[in-house]
Amino acid sequence: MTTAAAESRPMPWKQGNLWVVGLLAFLVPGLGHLYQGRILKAAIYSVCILGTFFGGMQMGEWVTVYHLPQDGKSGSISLSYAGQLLVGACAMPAWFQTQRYLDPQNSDILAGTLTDPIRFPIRGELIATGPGSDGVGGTLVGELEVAPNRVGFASEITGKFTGTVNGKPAEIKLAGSDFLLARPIGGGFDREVRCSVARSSDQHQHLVQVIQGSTPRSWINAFEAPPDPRKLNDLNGRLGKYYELALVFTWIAGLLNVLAFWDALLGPAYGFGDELESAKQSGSNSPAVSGPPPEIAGSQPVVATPSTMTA
Amino acid sequence: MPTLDFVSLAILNTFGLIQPVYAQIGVTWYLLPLALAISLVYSASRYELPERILSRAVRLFITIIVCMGAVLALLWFLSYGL
Repeated sequence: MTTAAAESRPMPWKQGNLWVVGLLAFLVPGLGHLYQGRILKAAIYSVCILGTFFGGMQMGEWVTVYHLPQDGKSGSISLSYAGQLLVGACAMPAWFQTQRYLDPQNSDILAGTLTDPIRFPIRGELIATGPGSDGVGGTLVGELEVAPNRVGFASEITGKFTGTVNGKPAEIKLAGSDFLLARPIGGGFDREVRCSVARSSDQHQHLVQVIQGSTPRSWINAFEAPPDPRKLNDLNGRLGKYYELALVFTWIAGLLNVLAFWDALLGPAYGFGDELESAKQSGSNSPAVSGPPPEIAGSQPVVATPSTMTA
Repeated sequence: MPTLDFVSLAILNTFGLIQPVYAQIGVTWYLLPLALAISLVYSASRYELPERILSRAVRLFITIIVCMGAVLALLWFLSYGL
């Protein structure tokens, strides 16, 4: 891939151990070049590749990079994640998050699986449907306390919401079998919450009230963890083509890192960039010159040529 | 003001022909940083001298933008009236 012109002249940078260079260049875009003393290239590669990668992640609400095998086997790898993995260390946490995600204990908490009382912050909406729902409901922020309540063979919950509804202080009693707290480890920094509200004696018998919202998920449990189908549906519904574009950004970042990796090991593909000028100055037809170009000749010691770097 | 409403509707209908393209503008702007990153990384992997990298990157960036603009114009032309 390297031209004859570049092959005939030494590399004007510290080549170093090729295994180390290759490993660094793969793990972090630009790090291999930094190790070699090629500061500008290190800056270009790191800013452009990592910027594209994390820009894509941000655009997709940090749920674009994940490893979720289609067949459920953790050993297989999807084409999407393979492309993202080319970015290196930045995409590797997804591999470990999958192991945590597939743990049987990492499951949604429902009314039937809730064993101990729990308490967590919530932000969402009070949704009322049916007769008499006008004026009921709104945006709520506060805290939810939920405990299991076994009624015969039925599994229900009981508890209360404390906080504000539409900015006004409120306390809402909770009861019923409709309860969902999304799994602790999963894609997205919000865990979905749904909980039915207890009926009061003065409300219409067909009025149904539900609290729907989310509670924060810790960074360590959310970063590059696989999203569940509900989250993916939500993202695709809200973001639409932006979510697909976010995926494309992360794939392109991975492919760009292949170029950076190649450059760190074998040097620039077309030569150093001054071959034509050098050929004109020497008056020969061959563009080959001896020694590094004057602009970078004094920057680093000459230690290797491309022909000696294939080992 | 029924006359104005009619005019507004006519204008909206006229521009409605290009509304799908206009609606894509938000996504289209993402092409700029993406093309910039691709141009810089590709050129950096081809050459070593900073000035050469930058000049080739600028050239590649302009080429990408012009080509994508041409494709956009072609698609708009082909979808005109649909």
